[in-house]
Amino acid sequence: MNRTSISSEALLVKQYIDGDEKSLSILINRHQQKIFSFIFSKVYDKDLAEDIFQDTFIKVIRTLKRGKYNEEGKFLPWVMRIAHNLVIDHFRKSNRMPKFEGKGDFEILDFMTDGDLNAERQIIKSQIEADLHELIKELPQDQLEVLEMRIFKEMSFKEIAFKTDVSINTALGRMRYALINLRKIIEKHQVVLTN
Amino acid sequence: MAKIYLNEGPQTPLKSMKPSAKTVKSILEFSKAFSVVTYKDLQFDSFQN
Repeated sequence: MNRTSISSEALLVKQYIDGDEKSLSILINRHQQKIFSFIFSKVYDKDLAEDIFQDTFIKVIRTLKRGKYNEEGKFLPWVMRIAHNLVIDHFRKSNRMPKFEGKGDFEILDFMTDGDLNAERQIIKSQIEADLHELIKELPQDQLEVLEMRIFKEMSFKEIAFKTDVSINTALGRMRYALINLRKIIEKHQVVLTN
Repeated sequence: MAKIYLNEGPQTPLKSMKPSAKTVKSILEFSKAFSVVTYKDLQFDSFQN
């Protein structure tokens, strides 16, 4: 998006906040295809995509009219983030994990500028790491120890085996059970660890 | 033998999909009806029929 369209975007948002309803219509018309296609590419259900699209804009409207929007010039990335979060909420509610495979044309991160991308990725990465640190505390001590050494300290299995005074096979087995149990813990807590 | 896996995908190419006119209309109507009233430090949502 070039500078002119960004400033026209910001102007439309400002006009809408000031009471010009037509500006919202222009914004929806301008971005409906990208937003709707993104939602549909995740849920593969037309009716559900319509609902999430509607909920997305209801959230947009509420935020704008409450004067809580502060991302001037970044309207589309902001709306896409709302849509993305609502898609995740839907899958959480229906107890089914989304298939974010990262192969499709419509990735949330594609709609963000480089600055947003790095900041967003960094935030998501830190959140995932924080969630992960909390979750692994539920693992048995021997598995937790191996997983921490392997994932966070990036030690080889040979080093782990030496450090914990077990055979490499035992260290590998503990890692395997740590991952199996971690999956169960993630499912139990219904945590979405996705970037 | 019947095909077990049949995935034809969406009829319309993903990139050209749009919400229905009805959905867009309902969003615009919500927007017209919704307003926020500020009283001192408090904000109240308001809907007009």
